Amino acid sequence: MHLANIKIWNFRKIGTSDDDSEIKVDNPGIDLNFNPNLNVIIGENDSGKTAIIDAIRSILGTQSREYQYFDERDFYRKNKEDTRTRQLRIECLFRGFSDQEAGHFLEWIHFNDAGEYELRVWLQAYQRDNRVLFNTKAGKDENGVQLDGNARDLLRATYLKPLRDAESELSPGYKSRLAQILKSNPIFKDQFDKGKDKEKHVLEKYIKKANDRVEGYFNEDSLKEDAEHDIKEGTPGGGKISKKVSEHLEKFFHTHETPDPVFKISGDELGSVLRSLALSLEDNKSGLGSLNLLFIAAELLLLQGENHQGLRLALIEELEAHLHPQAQLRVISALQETQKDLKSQFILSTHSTTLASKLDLDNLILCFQGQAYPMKKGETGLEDEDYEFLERFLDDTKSNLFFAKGVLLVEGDAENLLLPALAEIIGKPLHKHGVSIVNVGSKALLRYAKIFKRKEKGTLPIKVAVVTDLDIALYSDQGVIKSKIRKQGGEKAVPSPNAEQKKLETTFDSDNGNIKVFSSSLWTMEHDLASGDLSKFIYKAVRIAQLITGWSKKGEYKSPSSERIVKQIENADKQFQEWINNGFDSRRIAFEIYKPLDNKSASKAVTAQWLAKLLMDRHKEDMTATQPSNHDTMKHLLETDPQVRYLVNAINHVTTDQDHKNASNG
Amino acid sequence: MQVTDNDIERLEQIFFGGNGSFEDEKGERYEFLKCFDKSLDVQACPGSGKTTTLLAKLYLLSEKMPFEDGSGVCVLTHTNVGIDEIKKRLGPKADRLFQYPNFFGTIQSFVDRFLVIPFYIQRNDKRPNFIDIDMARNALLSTFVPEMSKDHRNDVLWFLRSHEKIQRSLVFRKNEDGSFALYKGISEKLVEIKKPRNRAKEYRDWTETEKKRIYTDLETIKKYVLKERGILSYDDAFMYAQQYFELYPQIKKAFCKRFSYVFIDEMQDTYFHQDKIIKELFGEDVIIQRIGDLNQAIMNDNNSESAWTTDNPMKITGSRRVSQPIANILRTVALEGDPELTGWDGCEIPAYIIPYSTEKEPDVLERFVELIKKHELDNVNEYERPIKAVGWVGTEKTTLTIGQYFVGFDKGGNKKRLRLTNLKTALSTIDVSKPNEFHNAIISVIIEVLSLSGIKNPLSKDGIRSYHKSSFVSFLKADHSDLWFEFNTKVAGWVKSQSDKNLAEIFPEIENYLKDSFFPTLDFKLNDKGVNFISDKNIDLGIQEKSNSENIFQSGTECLDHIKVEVNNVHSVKGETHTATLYLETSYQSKTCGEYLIDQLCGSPYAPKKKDTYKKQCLKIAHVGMSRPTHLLCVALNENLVNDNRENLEKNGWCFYPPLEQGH
Repeated sequence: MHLANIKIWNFRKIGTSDDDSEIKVDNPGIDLNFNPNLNVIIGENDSGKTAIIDAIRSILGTQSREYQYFDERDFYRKNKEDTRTRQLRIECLFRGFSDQEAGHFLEWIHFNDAGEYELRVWLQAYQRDNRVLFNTKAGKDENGVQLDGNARDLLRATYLKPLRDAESELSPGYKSRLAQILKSNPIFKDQFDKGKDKEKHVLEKYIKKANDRVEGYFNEDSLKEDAEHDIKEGTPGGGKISKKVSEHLEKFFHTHETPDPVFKISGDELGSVLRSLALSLEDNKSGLGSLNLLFIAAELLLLQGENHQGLRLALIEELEAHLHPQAQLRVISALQETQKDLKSQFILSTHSTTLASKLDLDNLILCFQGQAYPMKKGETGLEDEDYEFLERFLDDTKSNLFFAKGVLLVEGDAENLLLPALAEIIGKPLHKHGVSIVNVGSKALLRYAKIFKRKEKGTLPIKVAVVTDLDIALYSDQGVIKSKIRKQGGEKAVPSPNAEQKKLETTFDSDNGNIKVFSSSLWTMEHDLASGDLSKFIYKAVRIAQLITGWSKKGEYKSPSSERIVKQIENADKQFQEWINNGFDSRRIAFEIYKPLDNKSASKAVTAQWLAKLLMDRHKEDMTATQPSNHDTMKHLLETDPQVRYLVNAINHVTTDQDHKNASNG
Repeated sequence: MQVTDNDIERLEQIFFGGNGSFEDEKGERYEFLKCFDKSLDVQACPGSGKTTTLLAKLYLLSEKMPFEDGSGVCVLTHTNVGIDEIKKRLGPKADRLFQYPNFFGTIQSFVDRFLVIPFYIQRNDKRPNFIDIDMARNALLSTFVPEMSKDHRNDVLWFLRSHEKIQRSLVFRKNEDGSFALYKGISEKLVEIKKPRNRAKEYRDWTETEKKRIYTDLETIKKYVLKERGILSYDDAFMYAQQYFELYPQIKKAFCKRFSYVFIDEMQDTYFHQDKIIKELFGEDVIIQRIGDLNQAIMNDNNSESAWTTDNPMKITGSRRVSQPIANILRTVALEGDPELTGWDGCEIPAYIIPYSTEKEPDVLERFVELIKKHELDNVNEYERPIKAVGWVGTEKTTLTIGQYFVGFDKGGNKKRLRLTNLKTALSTIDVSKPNEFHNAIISVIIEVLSLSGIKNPLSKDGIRSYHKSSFVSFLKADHSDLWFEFNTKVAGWVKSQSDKNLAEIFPEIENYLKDSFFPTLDFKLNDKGVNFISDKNIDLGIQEKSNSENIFQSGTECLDHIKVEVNNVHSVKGETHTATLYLETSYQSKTCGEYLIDQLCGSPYAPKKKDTYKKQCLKIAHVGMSRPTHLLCVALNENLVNDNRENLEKNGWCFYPPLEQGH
């Protein structure tokens, strides 16, 4: 049995999906599926992950039986000025019942369309006259019935508080958690002898013995020799202390009924023995981090107990609170590797975004602005088959991808190298805007952008720009530049840029506008830039790249000297002038510039790298010029050149704050 | 599970307070008490203390609870009386026996809770409102289905009214091809529509087309009652239960995991359809122990037979209720007599036959009272158990019935049931002195009024469903808490004032409150039907008869008039223990009990024969009736029969009162 889904209405940060704030069947603010094993909710502070954990905790209760209550602050309000809603609701759905577990819930269970057991449990709380009333019910129908208290106990979760206090949890005391954990182990169950009398537990016998000794110690002023314990004759005992206590007591009581004070390690019944135990690592003063690990291990002891009936769900909040990053990674990796064997379900929350990179997408739930987004198969727009490849591809970049404000998804090195420079020049440096640029290396792999889409509708609340080429290739027919014929749907024809553009949009664009495709105007980025105002710059870059590429083909890997560069630039200027003199139009010039890139005599990556440098150099000149002319600056150039426009638009798209509301509702 | 002597000692302390034990000569009770590891049947004689023994077993189990695998114990009985008795006797000691995950209740309530209600919800996404045979029958006759014309409905009602049986047991059942059709009952035939014959001279049946239409309309009404009004008869319930595990056979495994022990008390009262469900649900892993007495298998409807058959049961043959002289009689007056049956020692009062002459039946009770006096059983302080006179057949006109012995015998006396014809009827059919019942009745009335007025629950799925009790109450609590408070205060007031005034006086108050205050506050506009339901002053008594007489006989003779004899039919005294019981012979299917039973009364065991249904029934009834008393058993027999068999009767230990003349 595991928690398969939770729906939340009007709880803390979580409202309703339609902003109506009236609770309806179909408008939960969060409708979140969990997988049966490991679920890690990652979100920045205040993103709503604690609300999710607390919602689960309030409806299911915890093994340590903290008292659950609601107060008015648990009720959602849209803004600070708004009044709070009067009702909230939390609904859980359980699946994966064994026959035995189904037996426990026969009165409340139902079957889904697939004929599998399901149990629906919900809590509704409402405010009335400054009090909060709530009730918990179960059943498939709208009204449901109360869940019997003992049956509810079977749904309790093991809850690990934000781990701030592992030391006290593991220390002796009346409310010792350690004692609770131990008590549930069969070796601490009551044993009876034949005559139905309770048998003394081994620990009880031990403590009894120890207590006797302690008592003895406090009865004697001076101890006798005891070889076994290495005690010398005449060692002072605690007798004086207990006498003193007795004297005081006699003053408080009537003399004849004064009870004798007794010093003890603990009561000698098993319960108090267990309560007086402490669990610690052997070196004395353990760091909080290792204590926390110890504590988690102790809790897992309980959860994994063979005898544990009911839900095996561990809620671990703020894993990072006192675990240093390496320890977190180890815990997460350990859980991820053994999740299937553990037979338990884990729901963890953390704001440590770096953890994301260690997690399989199947285990990952992202949390933004009171919304949760499981990234597992079936929840996103990405095809199941693509998952494995994407995982491998992303590996350590997952957190870049999912915790950026915006993502530029590019198909090749050239864009990867050039875009940051362009962004810098137009005054929107990517790092300042929290934008990640991800190079998937191939146009075909741009479909990974679908990981940002949700299965039903909507997207993650992240702006994504897919930057690609239109790829309508050209050829020269007796000096006339023409589009190559392309086979499309059985017919060969010259592709229309508009139609191609539309096609890309239908593939990539999301309804809510968060994901948008930006494509070059005709062929490739380099070609199209070469047909615009940057043609001279790109030509220079191509000439330099030709040089470097040529060397590397011969096995010489070196950078050109600045003299060589100047020479190449001069050559480029010369050649360019010649084309103009020959009356070449911009189309022809672009074709000529692109030739070396097309026939691979110049590397695109190197070209892009040099183009970026040339543009930046020029931009720096602009900035230092004493009388900058607005119309002549590189910034102006980039902003007005129609061939650069798609790149500038892409940058603008990912650096403009996204609209929260659209993000969640598609 | 091992049961030690220590366990038994402890149990005896708890159950008898040191004044008794489970010990018997043959060790039969100990054997049953100690056996936990297999399924078994126990054939227990009347007054065997089997329920106490069963309780002791359950108490042992309760000490082990909760079980490590989280499973529970399922204890099934046939009457709520039995359950209350058990709870009372165990007190808080065994509270957890009655709590989750255990089940303690009647087979019907078990089936309702675990199969019928879950399946109904699975199907309809809501809970049924009532599972009750009388409610279902009334609903069938009183439901208006929207868009069904009055004439069409009248045809259906005409048909139904002439078929009392169909009204009560009409049920949707699966045909062989998997489709559903209307059957006359769970194990009856398909419903065939035929025009009832009436006094009109010429009888012409409906045409085929008309029959088809009436059948379809009947289907529509039945469906509407089931789905929209959520009212199920017991037969409907069992069909639903059946379907539940036909559709979801995997649930059986869950039942076996949930209940590791099943105990059935009074197994002989189990019907075939009930037995079928229990057998289907609990597989071989579950330990099923069934306790009962085949000889007492008298079903509530005389037509059904007990589903209990058993080979080689464990036995408890020593009665702790009846005295040895009575036990001697019961050895042969039984379907499967047991020559080993024993009673308690130390009572010398013989069993009596009170002969009567035809038309002098009323004298019998007087004789009975005399005997009680004679044997000094009239001291209420010493003998706390009641004195009763019981017979089989109640009040039919022509033949010998209880009514002949006790003029004015009223077999009604049934407990009251809510009839939702109108407000006034509803209130007059319940025990208004019980606040809870009163409150419930008024809410039921409100739900009915809302349903009649077509007021739907806007919060329900698609907003097209009617309110039912729980949704309406939650609506009131949530959105109109002041009104809910006021309503409850009002109800409390009415309950209080009806004990001073009579119902007729507070009725207008209730009527006005609902019409002028309650519904208007909610902004619910009632239609005529709804208003009429509240205001209708006619009380519809239906099949219910007035039940004012208490059926108590008291002698007119001064020194005997302190002895109260309750006159009753045998079915209603099942399981009871009396100080003295008078068995009144009655006639059934043209013969009297005496005529059926004379051989057994004379001491020859019954040898089963085929087609001996009446005699078998009579034997079971007589066995139940005659096994009630602890001290004095009397049987009223016609003097002619007595005279003819005097010698044999005497030989079997009977005495006669008044004494017969010597010789004849």
